[in-house]
Amino acid sequence: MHVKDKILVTFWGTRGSIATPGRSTEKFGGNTSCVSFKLNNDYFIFDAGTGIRGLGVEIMGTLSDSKEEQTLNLFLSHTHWDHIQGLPFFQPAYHPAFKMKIFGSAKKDGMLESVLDGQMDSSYFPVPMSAFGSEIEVNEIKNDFPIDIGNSQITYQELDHPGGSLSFKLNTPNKTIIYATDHELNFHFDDNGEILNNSKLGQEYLDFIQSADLLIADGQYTDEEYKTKVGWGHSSVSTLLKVAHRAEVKQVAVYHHDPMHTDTFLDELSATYLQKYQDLEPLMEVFWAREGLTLAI
Amino acid sequence: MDEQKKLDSRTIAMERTQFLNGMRRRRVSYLEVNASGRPRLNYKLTEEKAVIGRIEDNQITLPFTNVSRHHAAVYKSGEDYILEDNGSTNGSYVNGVKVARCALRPNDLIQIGESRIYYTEREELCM
Repeated sequence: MHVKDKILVTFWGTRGSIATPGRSTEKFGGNTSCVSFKLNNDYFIFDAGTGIRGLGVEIMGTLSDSKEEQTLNLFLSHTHWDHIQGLPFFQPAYHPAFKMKIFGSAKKDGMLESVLDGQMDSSYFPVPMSAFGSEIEVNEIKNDFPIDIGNSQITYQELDHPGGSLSFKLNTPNKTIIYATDHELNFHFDDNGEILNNSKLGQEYLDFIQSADLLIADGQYTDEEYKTKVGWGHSSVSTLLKVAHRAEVKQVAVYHHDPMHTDTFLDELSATYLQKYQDLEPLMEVFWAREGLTLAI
Repeated sequence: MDEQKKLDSRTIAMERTQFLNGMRRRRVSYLEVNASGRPRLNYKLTEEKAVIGRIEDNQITLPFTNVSRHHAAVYKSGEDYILEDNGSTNGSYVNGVKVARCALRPNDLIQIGESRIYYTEREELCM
């Protein structure tokens, strides 16, 4: 699918923590974190959870006879399992027609490449990372950001998550889309979405997401659930939405669904919050991200 | 256990393969089309693409001004049926969200113009 000058945002994996296949999750999906943005011929891939396998199948299906190498830009929020586990099953990584540029945090100096390589150690997986047939370039994000790709620019921000996590922002001349998962907003904002204790990270987050066309963000817990999950590195839905509304975000995809949340549960949660936000000014559209959904932004 | 004993231990004295002889189960999908002033249409989806639009050459015709000529299509991909908008003027919506493409799940509500289309599935046995 190709829509000229529109960003095609596809959800390949929306689940947090661990893959949850089965009948009770087939609507919102059981695969872990992966979202792609496709703008003309450029791919921006965010996280490599189990959902990236499906993206790989689609990309391989569009492989042309062209001798020109295609670059796939993969941005990793962090290296917890649910964000990297699909990489060994990403078919384009094994194909010489592709160049994969992988970007991730430099916080743990020298670690990114060894973490990715480590999960393909023979104790865990039969094929080593050295078997990747594509040209692989692992980039630790330091001072070389923002980066320009085509007419777009990618910037990043640190998030509050055990071990760290990064959010990424894609800016085109007309649109802004943000991918911000694995973030405990509740440490930086109160129940009304006001910044807590002059939190610097809170203010930076507000500035980062200001007036975004689409914000894909961690909303793993209900308010009740959050009370017993403080410090686990994820946000409650109501805090996420209050902060996003305060920043005048136009559309929010609630993302990184809890493994215990069934389709029925998420449908009910979605209905509750849709009613709350549908009449507010400024208008903010809220939906729960689901696997197999593509938006044209 | 000899063959007779195996059969005697069952409620029905019949081999499983004999019992299931030729019987297969398959998922069948439908679009239940509710368009203003027109009778409800239950359209059975097949391997062929179903195009939805304003003019008569579509598989599902919605003759309304806010529907594009070839507005959207539903096609099979693996086990899924996919709704894809054809760059329509007024967009295609699934459960209220404007989509470019969406893998459909039972009871999804598709909105095209004023028309409401429900996607449903059921298991059918075929011999």
